[in-house]
Amino acid sequence: MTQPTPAVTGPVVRVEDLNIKVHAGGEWTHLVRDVSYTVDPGDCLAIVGESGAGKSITIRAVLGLLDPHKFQVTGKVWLGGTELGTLRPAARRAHVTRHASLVFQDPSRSLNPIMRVGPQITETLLAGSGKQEKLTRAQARERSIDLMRAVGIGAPEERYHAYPHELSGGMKQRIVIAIALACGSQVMFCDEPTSALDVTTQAQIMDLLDDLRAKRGITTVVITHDLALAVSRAEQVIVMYAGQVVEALPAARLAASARMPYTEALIYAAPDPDSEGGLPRPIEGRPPDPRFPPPGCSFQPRCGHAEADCAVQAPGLTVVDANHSLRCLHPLAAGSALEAARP
Amino acid sequence: MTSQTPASASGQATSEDTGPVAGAAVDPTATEPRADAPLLQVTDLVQEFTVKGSKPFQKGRVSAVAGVSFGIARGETLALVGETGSGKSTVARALLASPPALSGSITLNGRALPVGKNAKHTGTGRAGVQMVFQDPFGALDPRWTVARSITEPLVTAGVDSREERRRRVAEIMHLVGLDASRFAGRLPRELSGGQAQRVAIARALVGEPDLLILDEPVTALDVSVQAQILALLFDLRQRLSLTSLLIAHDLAVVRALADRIAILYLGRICETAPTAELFRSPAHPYTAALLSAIPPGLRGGVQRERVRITGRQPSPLNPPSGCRFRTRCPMAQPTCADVVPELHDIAPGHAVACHFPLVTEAG
Repeated sequence: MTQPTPAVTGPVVRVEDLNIKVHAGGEWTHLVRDVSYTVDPGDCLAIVGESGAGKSITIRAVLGLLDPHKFQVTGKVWLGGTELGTLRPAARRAHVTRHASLVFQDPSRSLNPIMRVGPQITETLLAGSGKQEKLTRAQARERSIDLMRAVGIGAPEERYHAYPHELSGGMKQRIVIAIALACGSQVMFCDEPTSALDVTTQAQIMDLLDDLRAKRGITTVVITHDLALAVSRAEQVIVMYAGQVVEALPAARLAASARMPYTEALIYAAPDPDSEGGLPRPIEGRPPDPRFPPPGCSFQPRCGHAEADCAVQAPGLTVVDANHSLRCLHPLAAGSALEAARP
Repeated sequence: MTSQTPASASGQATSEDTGPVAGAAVDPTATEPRADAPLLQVTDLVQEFTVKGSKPFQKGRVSAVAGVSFGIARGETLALVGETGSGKSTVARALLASPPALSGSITLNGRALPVGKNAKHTGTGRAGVQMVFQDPFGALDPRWTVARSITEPLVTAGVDSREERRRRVAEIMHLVGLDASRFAGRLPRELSGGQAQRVAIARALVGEPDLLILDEPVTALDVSVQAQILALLFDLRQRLSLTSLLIAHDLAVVRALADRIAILYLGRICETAPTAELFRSPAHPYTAALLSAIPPGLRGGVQRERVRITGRQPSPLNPPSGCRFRTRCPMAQPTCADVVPELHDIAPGHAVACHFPLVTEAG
């Protein structure tokens, strides 16, 4: 990063044609195909899908965390306006560390269990110190306490000395977010950040992420299996199935504009808190084994709207408008996902 | 309902239990005192644990459940909803006497279940109550085949005929949607999460328990699988007229399955109401906060006004005086610190423990 990066005006994250293959059992298995997306500064992108859809591995590839001996990653990734492929490995790691951080589902696994939580934040600040400004230990400590306050931890001076096991799950997740902020990163990738938490704590953590976006201009990419949560918090939602983006669309009015049958199936698979005794509608079958993908469309074996050609021809990307694209040979009429709610 | 072992009905019988013990296993109707009495009645259940204190040699006392009462009618599903640490699992454990509650009384199908220090610890094998856990892989022995796992409760219950056991295992596997010829010989590691949960449900149901406890049955499962298991539980409830206690923190899941909901906070019930009514007109501020924390449904959902609660759940080592929710309640008044609010009816079947309920007459 010798060249000064101009003030970024375009998307802060841009992924183009990301493909991931894994080497296992003497063969290459294609896990993720042609994933592309962009996130504008201060926005929230939600990636939704079942387990095994390739959500987590996609962001790990974006952050360069996959073992190059095992995984083959192709495609281009821009982070903060710089294409990562143009940087040497060491410079790339430094660039990623400065611009992005990753928050995991289980906060107790991201924290050092035998180190007090405050020093874990201070340590991160000191590791990054000297790049832009030099921090003394006392200054770093002071700033850690400020960060703890910023992520909504009450009595931060006392909690600074607490061990992770003395804090609740929501509190630990706040510490992890504080550490992510300490890196100075502008993009926060969150992998199921609230799945291990209670519903009220979940709402509080999501409120915190919203707050950080509003006050600090942090961009978030949230992975979740909960479509309702994604819709309530994100600007843009991408739905992944069997390693592909099957539909990408704005969160507002998602249910009304969804046209890919899988998105519709996901809408109906979650129990609805607002309907009288309405049972969720299961999606029959299971996602395909990535080693043996079905012919044609990957969702075709489970799709209620599949026709004969779906098993023959793999659907390409259809662009509906600037923010809405999908992969389906026979997309539903817009609004039909909500129509289906009426028996 | 026909396979209770006589042993479980005797032994822990207290003075209230006058049921004909010897005939219980033969004639199930003999143990039913009244047809309209709830199948399960829990009264003033209290559970406390001794834990290590903050200083060496000091002991702390955790008040996990502080006087919980509820009943479940035959064929009804009651959901206990609350956050981590609210005591919902402790209540379930007390029903299985593992460990037994400190005080209070539990009556199941006319029989008193063990309560108190000297009550015998029994595992989940207690005939009459069976439990399905959150993690099916943790609940199944990794070295046992599916058939063996499902057969075991029958062996414990004293079903001696091999032919009979085989027939009942095949029957229950069919009922939970598992093809016996394909799955009987499999080991847990050869099952998907949903299949393993089906095995766990079959294992719980094969002995025909009076009460089924479902402890977060779908929390660990993927969205589409979650819907499959919810549909299965709904179907089983209709077909077997199951009586069940559902423990969950996800109110959307609860809405799909439960007839009635009891909201638990820090070891006390703060509100109980029929499911639809609780969603329509929550009376306790905590219930309103829980409901407003759910993201709105996607099928033309309702946007609930957000009731924000601040801070975190106080330590059960030192619960707040008066109303236990007052430290986080947006509507707390001085009285709340002094007087413990009792559950009082505001509508038939709808009771709330709050001095200043949001609705005084639910409708």
